[in-house]
Amino acid sequence: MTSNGTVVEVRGLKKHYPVRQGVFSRVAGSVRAVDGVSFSIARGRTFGLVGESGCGKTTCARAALRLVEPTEGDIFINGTNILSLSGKHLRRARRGFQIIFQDPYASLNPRMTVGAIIGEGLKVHRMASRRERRRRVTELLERVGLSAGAAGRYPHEFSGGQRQRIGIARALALSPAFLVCDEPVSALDVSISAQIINLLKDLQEETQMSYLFISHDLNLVEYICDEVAVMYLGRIVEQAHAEVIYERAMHPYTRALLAANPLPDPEKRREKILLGGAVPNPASPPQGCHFHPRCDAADEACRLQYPKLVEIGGGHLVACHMVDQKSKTSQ
Amino acid sequence: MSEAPVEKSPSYWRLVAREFMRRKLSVAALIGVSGFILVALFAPWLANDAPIVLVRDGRVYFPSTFTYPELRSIDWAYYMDNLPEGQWALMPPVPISPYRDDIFNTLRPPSREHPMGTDDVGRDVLSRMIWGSRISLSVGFVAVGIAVVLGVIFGSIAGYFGGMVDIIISRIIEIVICFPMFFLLLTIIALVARVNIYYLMFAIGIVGWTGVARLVRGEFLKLREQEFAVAARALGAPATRVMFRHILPNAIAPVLVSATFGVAGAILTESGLSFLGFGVPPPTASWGSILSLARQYVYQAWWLTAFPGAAIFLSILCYNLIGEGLRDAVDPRLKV
Repeated sequence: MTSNGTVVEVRGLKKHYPVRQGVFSRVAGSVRAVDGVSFSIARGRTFGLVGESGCGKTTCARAALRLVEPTEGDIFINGTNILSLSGKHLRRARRGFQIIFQDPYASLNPRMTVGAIIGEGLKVHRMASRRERRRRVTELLERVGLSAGAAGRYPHEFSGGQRQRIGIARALALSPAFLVCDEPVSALDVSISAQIINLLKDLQEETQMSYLFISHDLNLVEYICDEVAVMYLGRIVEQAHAEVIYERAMHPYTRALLAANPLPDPEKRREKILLGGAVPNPASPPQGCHFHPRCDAADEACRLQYPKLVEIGGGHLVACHMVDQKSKTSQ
Repeated sequence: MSEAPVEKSPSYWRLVAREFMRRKLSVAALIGVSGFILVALFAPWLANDAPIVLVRDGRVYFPSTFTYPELRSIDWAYYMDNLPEGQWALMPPVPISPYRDDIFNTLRPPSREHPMGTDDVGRDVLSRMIWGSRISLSVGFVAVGIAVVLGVIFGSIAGYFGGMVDIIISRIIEIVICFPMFFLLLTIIALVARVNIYYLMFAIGIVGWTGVARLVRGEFLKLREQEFAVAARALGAPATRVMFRHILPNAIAPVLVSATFGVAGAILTESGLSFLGFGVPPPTASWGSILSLARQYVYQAWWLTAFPGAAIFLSILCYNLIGEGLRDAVDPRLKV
C-alpha cells in the first residue's frame, strides 16, 4: 500500500449511534452519522471533506483516527489496519496520526503550560529526555511562529490564532505521517486564518504529511485540497479533484453548495440555487436518495433506491441517478 | 539553538490564591483555622504538667517533649510544687495536664488558676480544650482526606469509563446515601469492639465519600469529551494519564471547596458522636466529650457548655468561611 504512495486508506467506514428509548433503554433505531465512507490519501496530499453542519464530517474524521470507535470498516494507515490494534499497540501507533481541532479554546488543557502541552506526546512515548524535550519544544514553537518564551505560559494568555499554532505544534511533535485538520480555521478571523492555512501548507511541503482537511468553507478547500469529497447525511455524494468539483460539479447538492458560496468578486453573478426544506432527521433519513426531498430533478428512481457512487471518468465519483442516466445516454 | 530563558506565568492556583486573598472575611477565617491548628500541634507544650525545660543536676531535660528513663517515676504535679533547690524549670503556659483530677476543686467556675473552670472531677477545662482540639481537628482532616481519596477514585473511574462501570458505581453510591449518615456511623462503631479515634476517622471517611464521588463523576463526564482530553488520547496517552493529568486538575477545584465544607461537617459529626457517648473513649478529651459532660451540669456549670461550644462553633464557622471564599475564588468565570 505504501508502494504506490498511499498513506491512508479508509474503506466502508461506518459509525452508527444507537437511539435508545423507554424504561429499558431498548434500541429503537440508530443515527447513521457516518454510513459507508471510503477514501484514500497519498503521501503529501490533502483530501478535503466538505458538507453542512451535522453531515458527519467530524465523526468521520474522529472515527478514522479511532477517537470514536467505528461500527464497521477498515482503516489502513501506513499499511497497518489500526482497527486490528488494541491497548498499548494502538497507543504506540498513534504517533503516526495526529489531529488539530476546531476550537482552539477547548483543545488546550488550561492547567498545563504551553511547553508541557507540546512536549506531552514526546513524554508519553518516552521519545526524548527532559533536556531534549525542552529543545524540541523550543524548535517547534519557533517553527509554528511563536517565541520560545511561550513555553512557560498558560494557554489563556494567547489569542485564538496563537492557540491554534500551539495545537499544530503539539501534533507536529510526534512527526506524524497523517494529520487530520478538523475545521482548523473556522473559529478564527480571516487574516489569522490565512496565516494558519499557509503554515499548514508550508509544513506539508517540508514534511510530506498527508492531510484530511475538514471544512465548510469551499473557497478554502479549493485552495488547500488536492481532492475533495462532499458529504450529505453521512455519505459521500460526490468526489473529485478540487478543480473538477469547482468547474464541473455534477451532483445537485454540490451545485447548490457552490452556488451558496460567496464569491470575492462583487461584479460576478451566477445562478442562484435555493434548496427547499431542511436537512432530514439523520435517525430516519428519507427512503431512496437521501437528497431527493430537496432536489428539483428527483424522479421515481430517486424515491426508491439510493444511487451508487459511480465513477464518471477521471476519478470523478458521483452518487446521483440523474447523472448516472445522463452519462449512460451520452455514451 | 540557544535555550531561551523561559519565563513562567502565574499558574491557576496562584491566581486562585490571589483572588482568595481579596476576601477579607475568608482570610480572617484562614488565620483563625491556622490558630486552631497551631494550638493542636503544640498542645504538649501549651498544656502539660511536665515542664518544657528542666535543669536538674547540671543536665538539661525536655520532659514535655521526650520521656527519660530516670524521670519516669516522677509525679510532675507534686514535683513542681516542691521543686528542689538548685533546679530550674520552664513551665508551659497552662501548667496542668488534661488528665489530672482534683476532688477538692470540682466544678469550679473560671478563675486565675483555671481560666475555663474545672469539670466534675476537677480537671482543668482549658487544658482539656487544648488537647481536645487535636482530636477534633485531626478527625476533620483525616476523615475528609479518606472521603476525598475514595471519592476521587470511584468518581473518576465512573465518569471516565461510563457504561457498566458507571452504572455499578452509581448504584453503590445510591445505596450508601440511602442510609442516614449517623445510623451508618453508629452501626460501624457498634461492630468494632474497642472504639478508638482512628476507627472514628475511618468511619466518618467511609460514610462521607459519596458526595465527592458524585461531584467528581459529574466533572469527569463533562470534561472527558472536551477537546483537550480527546487530544491527549489522540497523542496516545494511557487512560490513567488522561484521567489524572488532564481531567482531574480541571475537576479538583469544586472538590476542594466541598472538602473544606466537609471538614466542618466531620468536626460536627465527631462532636455529635462524642456528645452521644459514642466518640472517643474517656479519659481522652475532645470538644464533643466535654460538651457531653456539660449536659449533666447545664444549670450549675455554664463554662462546661460555653467554651467547647464556642470552639466548635468558631472552627466550623471558619471552615465554612474558607470554603465560601474558595468557592468564589475558583469560580469558572474567573479569567483563566
